[in-house]
Amino acid sequence: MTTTPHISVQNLNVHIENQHILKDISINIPNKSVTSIIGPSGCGKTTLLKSFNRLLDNIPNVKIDGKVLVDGENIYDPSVEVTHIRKKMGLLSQRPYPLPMSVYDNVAYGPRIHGIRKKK
Amino acid sequence: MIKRKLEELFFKTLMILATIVVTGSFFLIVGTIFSKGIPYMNLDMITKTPGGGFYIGKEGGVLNAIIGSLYIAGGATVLGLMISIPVAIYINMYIDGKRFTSNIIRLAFDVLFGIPSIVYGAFGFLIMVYFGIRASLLGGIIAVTLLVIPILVRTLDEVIRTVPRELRDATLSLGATRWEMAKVVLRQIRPGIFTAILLSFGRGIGDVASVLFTAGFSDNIPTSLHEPAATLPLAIFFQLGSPVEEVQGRAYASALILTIVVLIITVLSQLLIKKFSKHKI
Repeated sequence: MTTTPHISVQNLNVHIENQHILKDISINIPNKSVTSIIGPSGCGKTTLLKSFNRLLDNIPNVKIDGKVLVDGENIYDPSVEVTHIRKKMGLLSQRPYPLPMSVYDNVAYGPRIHGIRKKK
Repeated sequence: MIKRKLEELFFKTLMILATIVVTGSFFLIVGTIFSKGIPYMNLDMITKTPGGGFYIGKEGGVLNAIIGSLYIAGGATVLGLMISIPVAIYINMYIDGKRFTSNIIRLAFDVLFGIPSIVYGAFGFLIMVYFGIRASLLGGIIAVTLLVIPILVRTLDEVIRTVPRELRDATLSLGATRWEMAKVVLRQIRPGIFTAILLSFGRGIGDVASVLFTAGFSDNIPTSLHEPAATLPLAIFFQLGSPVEEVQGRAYASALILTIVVLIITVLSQLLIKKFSKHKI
């Protein structure tokens, strides 16, 4: 099974508050299959996942080096638009938090902000 | 073992005493205003402007000051919100990668928070002189706005910081822009916005020093932004200074009106907070 990797991480280093969290990570995650990342608490599993849709950008004092390719496109390239990345790559947090609106609006929120309206 | 129990008892007593002192002084203040103000309270006080001999104990009321105070506190709160909501959003959601910058801005607002209101009054007066505005409703609103902005920004800032990181991440990972995230966060903190409005309105309606030079005083209800406006605290101040007993009593009646206005605003905003807490966990 040699398909092109869906997500390809190349030499990813992440520092948060001068702590080296992710140390030189390189991994290919294949398309259309389940990949599980396991490890003890605090080893950087969530940080790695957050790096896939650039949620790390919002953490203060974060430094990210390396490449994350999604479908061959480096998402850390300065010319890439963040919302475009996140539209393709969803992330469900460990503690899901509903938006302060009705259940219907919660479900519809994602499509709505991307311009899909009044389609049931 | 006995030492632990004594310690528990000691601090419990201390807490009860402190609570009694605070609650007691609240009832003492309200009680004094009521007992001294009720005898002079009548329909004229809230429906009429001062007549010719009002300040020597003749007919009239303080409607001019009630309306003036509501205009100034309301105008300042609305204007203040329009300035402070963007500031609070900006320092929390747009520059949170640079903690240093946002902390400098927070420090600035903390300092502004502690500046006595007479300084805002003087500063407002300078602005008015520069723009050639005379003591007027507009001047009062500007000065009180300056006064309430730090209160609003700091309150909103604290409220926004209680919003869980997960909520922001949830909107962002759906591909929302920062402004779209801010809109969701604003919905989440709606009850907090009402608390901020309440605090700023309460502060604005009760402040004397900032309106002393800027709003002036008038026996008429202001009909435009450029007319001087009376305020309840100033009305109380002028009436208390009178040697006539009748007028002094009316000062307490005015204080009673001010207290009731604040009470109404508080109850109203509590109701609104309940209403807007829908769809929240």
